[in-house]
Amino acid sequence: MSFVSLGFIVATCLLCLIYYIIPKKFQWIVLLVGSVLFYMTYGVKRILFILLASVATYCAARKIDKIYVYQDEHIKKNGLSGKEKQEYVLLNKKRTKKILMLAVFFLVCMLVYSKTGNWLQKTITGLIFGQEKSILPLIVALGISYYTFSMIAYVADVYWRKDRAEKNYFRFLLFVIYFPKILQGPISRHNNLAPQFKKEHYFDYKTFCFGAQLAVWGYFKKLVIADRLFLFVGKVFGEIPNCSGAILVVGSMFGALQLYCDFSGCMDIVRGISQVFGIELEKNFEQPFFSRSVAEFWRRWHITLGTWFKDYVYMPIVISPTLSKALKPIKEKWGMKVVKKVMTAIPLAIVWILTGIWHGTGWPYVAWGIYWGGLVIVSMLLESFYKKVLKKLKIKEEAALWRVFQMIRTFLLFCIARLLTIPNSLHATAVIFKKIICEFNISSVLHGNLFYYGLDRLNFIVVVVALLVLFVVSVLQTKGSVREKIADRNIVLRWSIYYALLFAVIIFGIYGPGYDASSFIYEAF
Amino acid sequence: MKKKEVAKGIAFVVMFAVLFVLVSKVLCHPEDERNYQWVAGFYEEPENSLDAVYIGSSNCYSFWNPLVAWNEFGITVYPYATNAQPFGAAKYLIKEARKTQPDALYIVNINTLGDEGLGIENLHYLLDYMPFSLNKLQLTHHLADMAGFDFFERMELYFPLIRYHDRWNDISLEDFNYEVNGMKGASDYSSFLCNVNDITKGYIVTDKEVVLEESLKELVEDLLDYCDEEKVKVLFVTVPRCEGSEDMVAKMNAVNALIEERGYPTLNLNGKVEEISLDLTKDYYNSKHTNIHGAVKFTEYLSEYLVDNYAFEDKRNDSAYITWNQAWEQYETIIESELLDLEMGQARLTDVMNMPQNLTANHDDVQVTVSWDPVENAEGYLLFRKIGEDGKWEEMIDTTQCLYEDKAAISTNAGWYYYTVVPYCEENGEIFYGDFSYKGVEIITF
Repeated sequence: MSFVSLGFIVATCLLCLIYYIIPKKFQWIVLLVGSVLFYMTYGVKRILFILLASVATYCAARKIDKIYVYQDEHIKKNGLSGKEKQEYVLLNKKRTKKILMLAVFFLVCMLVYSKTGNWLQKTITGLIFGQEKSILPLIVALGISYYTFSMIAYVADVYWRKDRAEKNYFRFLLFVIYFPKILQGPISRHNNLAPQFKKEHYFDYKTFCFGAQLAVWGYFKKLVIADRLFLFVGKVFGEIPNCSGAILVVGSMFGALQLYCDFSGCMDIVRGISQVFGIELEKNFEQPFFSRSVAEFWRRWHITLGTWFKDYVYMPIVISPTLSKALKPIKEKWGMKVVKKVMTAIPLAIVWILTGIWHGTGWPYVAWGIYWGGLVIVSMLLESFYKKVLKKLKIKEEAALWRVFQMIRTFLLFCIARLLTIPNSLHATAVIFKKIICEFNISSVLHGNLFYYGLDRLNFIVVVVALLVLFVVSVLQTKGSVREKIADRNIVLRWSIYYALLFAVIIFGIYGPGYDASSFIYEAF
Repeated sequence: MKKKEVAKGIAFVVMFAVLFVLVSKVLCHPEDERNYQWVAGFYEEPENSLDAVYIGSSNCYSFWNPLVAWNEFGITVYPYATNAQPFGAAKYLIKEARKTQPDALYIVNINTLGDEGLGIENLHYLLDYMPFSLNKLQLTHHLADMAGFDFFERMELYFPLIRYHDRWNDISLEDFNYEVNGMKGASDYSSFLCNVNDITKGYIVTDKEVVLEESLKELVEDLLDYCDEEKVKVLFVTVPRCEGSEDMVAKMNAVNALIEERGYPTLNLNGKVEEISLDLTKDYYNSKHTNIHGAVKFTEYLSEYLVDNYAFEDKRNDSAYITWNQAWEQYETIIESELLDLEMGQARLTDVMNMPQNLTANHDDVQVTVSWDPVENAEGYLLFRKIGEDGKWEEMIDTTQCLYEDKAAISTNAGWYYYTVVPYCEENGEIFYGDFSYKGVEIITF
């Protein structure tokens, strides 16, 4: 059941009604039942994998938590202190670390098997038996990339004593399978969601309206902009030999905007729906195309993935004694300044390799990871040199024109990255770049050829106007909550805006017979 | 929640619903305008003004011509018909029509018994133009069940804006004020007016009956139960057409038998083409539908049956029915270009005088020369000409020769010319006409 289906909207409305009518202590059960049923609409068997992963994680976290509880009691009871206490704590740390590693290993294996299992089986059986075979069952687990990361974060937080283990397995399952976030994230933290599930939620008119407005805004981005842009992008990148370089450049820009509107639109839908239930999910986007650098971009795009990698990959590597030991010779030879840069570069490289793999297997995603990782690391390494150049050229970093230039530059870098993954083949990407450089042909854009690629003139106007609306709203969002601003206006203006948005989705949305039901891009992960 | 918030919430939803209906009215333009005219046109008829309502699929609107029936017999029989209308809709449509025409006879066509009417497009043709009512909701639910639609398809039927929302880029002024054309459901689409197809090979006649599927039997029984309960005057008609297989004809025979068992009248016209004077080689535009020529003959036949059996009065001079006269005048101008035989009325002896053979037309720089073979029993020939496919037939000459030289064709307008020849004879001072080609022979004179 897709988020953009009528069935989902009707089912959510019904669930919301039951949620607010039922006695408050059962609200979390309503959400759990709704989430399980939602997951099962994608196939009853699939739920077995998420149950298996959640049981393993639950047990691991409970075990770790029990060890710590016993440890604290033992220390207090026996009045341990100093070296004795330190040794006792270290011993327990080793035990809990083993459990953590086992749990993480199990979850990562499930994730890797899900992503690459079919390919691995066929390759190995091809080598051994001379014939490709599928022996083991495939895991086609929905949302596995998202819930695996959520569970790893949970068990790691319990290990680091940032969170307590959930005693009730079903409450933990709710955290894992909560339906707004299960398909595409955000990658939620247990210590954010769990307390909210435990609270009693009374119907609040303002919260409900704000949630509904955010969801409708998400549908606008997805159905009016993203799916409309896809008509163009799909056509252009399906007929690369027939397109000029200029058309391909427009295609890459539209591809970038399509991806943003698709993903952030979904995030607005899920956050809005969750808000309707009184549950606040983490933000995943913060106007990323207003970023002035690549590093800033990745702090504003897919925020929860970035913070996950920072908290659970980058920081553990940076503070790991193993890395410090390995860098000691460099420190002695080159000094602290160089070591600091190396200590940043190595974990960044690992993070970007893993980020690339998270997005997909295959050379395009490897190239994608290297591209972004390279940009981030190089800009980090050359930061001071870059500042000196700007100073020499007398360019004021805070000047409006310079800031606009930086934003456009970041956007163009993102468009280049899109060209690595849209065609899904590095060869096709090479052909595209060659065409852009050698067969640009600007007249193909200026003389109306744009309207031959899936979007006629009127649809082009609609998408441009919609993008302008998106731009204006994004600018307003940098100054505070747009929903609050609208809510402060008089009722005629407020309702006009709400109705305009609703009917924009109903009239201009790409849905219905004649269009294939478009899935969200990030659902594939 | 405070009372003010409840009131605001309700007001918002109500206003949304009003706007939704208004937007739907503008955007839900019928994909096939004909169906709009047939359905919406019914609701323009004053209460208790119709002798009968004819319910069914395209077999209604192609075979039955309400304005020919009006012009020749003064009876008002409106076709509440849509493209591939499923038989399962009949009960609900009778219910619907009885709201304004409770005393009318209900003629139900039973040729569309299969699943072909249950495609979502066909259901839109029927449901989109019916005014909202509980009966419409029940009909929608019933047809969606029969078709086995999923949730989204059902929603599309309840809210057709889901289907038509992207018409925003086709919108015109007409969408804001869509009008019924006042033609009482009389067909005027081009294939009906112009096309001719020989369906002799595919036409099957049989007296056999098959055992009906339970689901179809239940459907028929349910309709008859309703007619019993509400004491509906109903006549079941089967039109002569190609059914595709003997089994299908046998199925229709079985349905007729079931209806007769329940004491309701049937008029099974399959196998009765000679009685109706239908010519399988000329009076159909495809295997299942008559063209205007066939429709005139069928309408005359059925009209006589209705007048004889149901005592319908001739209302041609009744001022309350002036809109029917106006409709006929309008319709006559549309079909003039196709229908010479309408002018000839009943005075046709096509068995006595055959269609002129080898009707040819040639031209040189001076004239168009039309020639044909003599027709046995013919005393003379009327030659008609029309200029352009949509032109009006004009009598050019009454001649005993089998030749005509049209000098005006070259000297005036170059273009497409059509010629047809009607043989005639006279008996006791009365002129009788023979068979002739509806399309005639065409020639271009550029």
